[in-house]
Formats: sequence, C-alpha cells, structure tokens
Amino acid sequence: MLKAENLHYVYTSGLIKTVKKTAVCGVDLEVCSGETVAIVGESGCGKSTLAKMLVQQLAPVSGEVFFDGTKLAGMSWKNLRKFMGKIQLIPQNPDDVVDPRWTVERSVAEPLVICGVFSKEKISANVDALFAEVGLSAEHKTRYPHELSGGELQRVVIARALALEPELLVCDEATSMLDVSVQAFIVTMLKEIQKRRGLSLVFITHDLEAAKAVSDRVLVMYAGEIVEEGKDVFDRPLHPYTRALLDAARYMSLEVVVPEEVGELPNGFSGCSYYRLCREKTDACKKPQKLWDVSGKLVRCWKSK
Amino acid sequence: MPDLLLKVSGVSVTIPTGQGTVHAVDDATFSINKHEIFSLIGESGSGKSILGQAIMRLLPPNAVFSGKVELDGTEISALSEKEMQKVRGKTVASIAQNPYLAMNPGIRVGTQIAEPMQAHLGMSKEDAKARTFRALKYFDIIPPEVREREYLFQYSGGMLQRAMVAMGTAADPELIIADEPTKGIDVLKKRNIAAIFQKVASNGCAFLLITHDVGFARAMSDRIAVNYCGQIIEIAGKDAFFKGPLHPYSKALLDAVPERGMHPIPGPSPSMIEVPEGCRFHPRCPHKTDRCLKNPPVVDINGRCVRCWMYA
Repeated sequence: MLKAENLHYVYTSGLIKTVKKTAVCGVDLEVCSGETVAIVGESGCGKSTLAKMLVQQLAPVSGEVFFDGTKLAGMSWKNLRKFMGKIQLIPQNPDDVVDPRWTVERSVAEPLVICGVFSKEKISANVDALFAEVGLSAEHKTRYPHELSGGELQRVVIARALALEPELLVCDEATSMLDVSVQAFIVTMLKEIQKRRGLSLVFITHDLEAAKAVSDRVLVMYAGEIVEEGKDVFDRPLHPYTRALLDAARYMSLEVVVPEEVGELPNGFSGCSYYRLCREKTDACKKPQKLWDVSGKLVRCWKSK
Repeated sequence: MPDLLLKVSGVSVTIPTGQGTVHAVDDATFSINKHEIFSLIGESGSGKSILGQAIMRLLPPNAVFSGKVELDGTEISALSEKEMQKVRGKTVASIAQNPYLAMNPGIRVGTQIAEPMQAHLGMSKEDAKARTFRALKYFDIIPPEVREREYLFQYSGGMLQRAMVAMGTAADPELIIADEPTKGIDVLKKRNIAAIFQKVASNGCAFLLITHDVGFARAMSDRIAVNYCGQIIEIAGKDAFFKGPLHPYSKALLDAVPERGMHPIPGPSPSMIEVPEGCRFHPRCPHKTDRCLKNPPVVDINGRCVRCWMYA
C-alpha cells in the first residue's frame, strides 16, 4: 500500500559555515494493507525524520514515496491534499498537535472542517462517534488539553487522526512517555481500531518489547540506515547492532559504552555504519555494506550470509 | 539483621490546591538498609516523587507534612532547615531526572561537582579540584582537565547524565534518591545508567530509585515497593515480587508490561483529591468484596508487606 524507495534526508544548519548531517540514508520501506510494521532504533537514528517523510511533512532530498501506486513527491498541494488524510501521524507529544486554547472537541473537528465538511450536525455526529471509538465520554469533549491526563490526551490525538478515515497511521513514539498500564491501554485500543477499520500501522519506538508485542514485521534502524528487517528479528538477531540493542534491553552486559571515546569515523569512510562500535569488525567491514537476504530476512552485514 | 539506614514511618503529605486537597502521600512506612537498592514503582501522579521530596525535605512550601523520617539514627524530619542543609548532599543526595534543570548553565561543570566537597567535607579548593578530576575520570568524562572547564551546553546528553551522578556522589553520600532516571530515553542509554548506578552501589551507597519503568527496577533493585494513589500497597524482595506479586494492583501492573502481553488495567486512574474510600484500588479490583470499603490492614507475610484484605 505504502512504498518508499531510497529515501534520503540531510539537515543543513548554519549560514556561513554550513554543517550537513545525514539523517536518513537510502531507506526502502513497504507497508502492506492491514499490516503492522515496527521501526526500532536508538534516539537520533533518523526514525522521526523517516516518519515525517512518510506523512509528507518533510520533502525527501532524494527518493520517492508511493501510496497505492501514486507518486506523492512533487505533487501539487491541491492533489496532495486528497492523500494527506489517508496517512496520519500520531506524534510522541500530544501537546504538539492540539491547541491549548481550544476545547479538545474543536481540535478533533478541525481536520473535518479543513477537508470541507461544514454542516454542524455532521461534524458533531462525527466527533461523537470518534470520541466513543477511543473510549472517551461526552464530558471530555468540552475540556481543554491541560485538564486531561497524558493518556486521555493521547486518545484525543488518535481520535483526531482517525477523523479523516485514514488507511495508514504512523505512530512516532506514541506511547513511550506513558506509564505501562496506559501504554497497554493505548496499544490494545490501536490494535482494535486496526482490526475494525483494516488500517495499516507503522509503529516507531525505542521500546523493543513493545515493538515485539505489536508488530508483524520489524525494521531495525541505525545511523539512518535499515540494518535488519524481518519477522523474527528479536528471536534470531543477525546484525551485531540488533544484538547489542537486545542485550541492552535485557541489561545483559552492564558496562558503560561511551560513544565519544571510540572516536569519529575517518572522513569519507564508506564502510559499515556500525563499524565504530562493532565488536566483531574486520577489515572487510570497511567496504560498503549492502542488504543481504538471509532466509527471508534482510541484514546489512556481510558476515550474516 | 542488616544495618538500618533510612526509616520512614507514617509519612503523609497533603497539598492544598484550588480544586481541593491533594492526598499525595498517605501513611508511607518503609525502611532502607545500608548498601541496598530499593525501588519505588508506580504510575505517574501516584505521589512517588512527592515522597522522595518529603525525605529530602524539598517539598513545595504549601505542602503539609506529618510523620517521621530517620536517617542513620537522626530524625531528619525534625531538623531545622540550617541543620538539614548539612545533611542534604552529604548523607543523602538526589539525582534529578533532567540535567538541564538540575545544573546551572552559567557555572562550569567542574565547579558544580566540586561544590558539595567544599561545602560538606571542608576541602580546600585545590583538594576538591583534584578529587573532581578523579570523579570525572571515574565516570568516563574524559579528558577531565578539559571537561572540568566546560559548560552544560558543551556536554552531550549521556555525558551530562554521568556528570550529574558525579555531582550527586561527590560528598560520598550514604543514600542517593534518583527520581525517574530512565524516563523517555532509549535502551542503550538506559543500560549505561544502570551500569553507572551499579558502579556507585558497589562502593557501598544505598539507592532509592523512584521509577515507573518496571524493567529497570527489575534489573537494579534488591527490594521493590509499589505505590498506588499515594499509598504503598506492597513491599517485597525482587525475586519474590516478580515470581508472585500479592496485591491485585501489582499483578495488574506486571500484566500490563509488553513482555506479559500488555493487558490494560480496567477503569480510570483515581483522583488524588477525592480518593476512593477504603482500599484505594477497589473500584478497579477484580477481587473486591464488601469489606474493601473499609481501610485494608497492612499485612506482614514472611517479611513481605501487603495492604489488602485478601491476606488479612
């Protein structure tokens, strides 16, 4: 359904001395209808940039995004608007989405108004249905964002995202700031909505256990690249980085790893992006790595084949 | 009998607000032994942080405190503010969640780490500086002679976290209170924090970890206390707790973690202003009976404490 090909994004900062930082580097991604894909990786690995490119908030420096076979990049604003409703983003911080001076009812109704639903009865019926769908009662409607708890506000944001009947939800760390019981509630609710509406979900998180519990397929990202992709990534990790992540999540080897100490990669280094911290590196890792197909999984490490 | 370090008995904190009185902590009673890592877990808004602040005597000015806190035999809840200042940072130190709020952006990091040594241990400036160098090296902030002279904005996030631990441990405290040290950070940084805390604990420092991260508490602690709606409802050794939690809320909390299938707890979280009568968990509890409308007793079962009628 959604297909991204060879996405790149580079942040530039500074006026006189421009600094370029590659955030996403050649990511291919495919999401089928009704599927849940999890993207995991440490903070700063480009997960959120990728999410923003998928929902067309950022235009990729190079690469294409296709939705149902239609190319989205370079489309005129007018045409793009038809597709924007089909792909919705749920961000980490619900405060970024809702206006603190509006009642949450108005925030949920806003996308409907923008997309040309003007009759008051229709809007209020729609909003009522959405509030019921995310398990909020009618008394929540007239409240302001600061009067709701974190979990309730996240539900408001989900209701808002569902208003335009999307086919794909991109959840960018949607539950990582919440308590375990609230997280469990939101995730269970999202899965139910997915089943009822036949949605696809892209679940971006740094919580490996949550990713494992939610998803059909997992992509592991490191330094803007997909380093491993497949169905049983956590049961049978093949890339050294995935193994390091899993060990850290289980508190297996309690030692401080200081990235600053390892030193920067030499300029123009084109080998494995994980070369700096990898424990199993050899000279062959200095060559560019491609994604190998290892029994149904994709792994960016020549040793795995 | 292991050496007792901190004894909290019958501590209650209420905070009057415009909407009514918030019952943040109700009848908290527990103790921490020397060299022990004790975790207080619970959901946000359940009053864990306020309990930590109550021990440090750093409550908001309008909060009403009652009860008794004893540290190493002295009743610190009865000390004057001036005397408390000598204890704070020396015997008990706190490590805040956010380094950007806890450290001063206008003062060199080295100076901030040296400050408790000069204030509490009576060290000269030179001695404190030499010791700061050692501390920075110990926490992998290298090279220390350069890093000592830098400011917050020149440090990376992970380095700041370590600098904060260095500042907290500067005067060799016997107890460290860490409030939500792992909130919102990824697994690799979490592992680093766990490793640093273990390193400090191996030198004989006791910890009170206030966290909502069940996995982190499991990896770190010797004993666990569960907080719900201002009350401590269960205290147990780590292994016994994760093998078989006693209180229905502890069970529900463990079932909500992703490893155990993410089962949400039914019902909304209770209000801290109009707390439920009797057992505070009874509106959401699957085992509730009529007696749950009365205050449940704290039952002691082989050294485990549980606040529930089921075990009375």
